Amino acid sequence: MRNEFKNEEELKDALDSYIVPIPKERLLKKETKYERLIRYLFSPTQNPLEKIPESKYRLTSFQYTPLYLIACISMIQAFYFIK
Amino acid sequence: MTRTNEELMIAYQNGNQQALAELYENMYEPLYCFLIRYTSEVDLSIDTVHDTFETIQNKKHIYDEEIGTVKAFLFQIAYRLLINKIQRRKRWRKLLPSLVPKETKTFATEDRLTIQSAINELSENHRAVILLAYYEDATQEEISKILNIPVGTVKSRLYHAMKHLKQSLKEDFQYEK
Repeated sequence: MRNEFKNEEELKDALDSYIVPIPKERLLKKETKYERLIRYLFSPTQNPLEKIPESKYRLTSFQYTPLYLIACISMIQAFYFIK
Repeated sequence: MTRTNEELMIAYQNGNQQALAELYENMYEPLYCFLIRYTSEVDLSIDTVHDTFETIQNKKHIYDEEIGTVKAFLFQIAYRLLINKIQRRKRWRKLLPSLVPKETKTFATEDRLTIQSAINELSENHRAVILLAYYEDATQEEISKILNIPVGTVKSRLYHAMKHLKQSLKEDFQYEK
C-alpha cells in the first residue's frame, strides 16, 4: 500500500516524524476491572460548577444563593414551630 | 525459530497458551501505535489493546486462516472495540458531561505536533485509512476488511486523506515561513 506514497516525499517525511512513545510497562501489565475503575475515579473530570460563574450576574447569584436558602429554611422552621 | 502470527494463532486455537503470549509480544506495539495515532489518548489505547486480546481469549475459534491474516483480524477487533468505546463515551458526555474524564492529549516535539494535529484534523474515516495504509503497510483488501468498507471506498478515502494532509502540511509550512 506504500506505493500510493511513492512520489510523496514531503508527506512521507512528515508521517515518518510522527513517532509515538510506547508505555511498555503498562501494556505488559494486565489491569483488572477494579484497577480500571480506580483509575477512572481518580482521573480529572470537567468541573460541573465551572459554567455557573461565567457572568457577573451568575457569579453573584452563585455566591448569595446559599445564604438566601439558609434564611428561607430557617424561617420555614421558625413558622412551623410557632404554629 | 520464530513462528508467524498465523502459526501462533492456530497453536493457540489448539490449546497452546504460550502461543497467545508470543502473539501479544509481536502485536501489542503495532496495535497500540495505530490506536494512539487514531485517538491521541494513552489510557483509551492501552485499554483497547488489552480488550482486544481478551476478546481473542473468549472468541479464539472465530479466526479462520483462509479469511485473512491474523494482523487484519486483530486490527479489526481493536478498531470495532475502539469505535464502540468512543460512541459510548459520546453518549455519556451528552447525558452527564461532568462524569466523562478529560481527554489528555499528548504532544511532544514540534514536528510531531504538526503532523499529529494534521492527522487529528482528518475525519475519523479518513484517519483510519491513512494510518493503516502508511504505518501498518496494510493492503487495500486488508483495510477494507478491518474497517468493513468496500475496496473502492478505501481508495477514495485514501486519496482524499492524502490530499487533505498535504494541504494542511503545506499551509503549516507556509505559515512558518
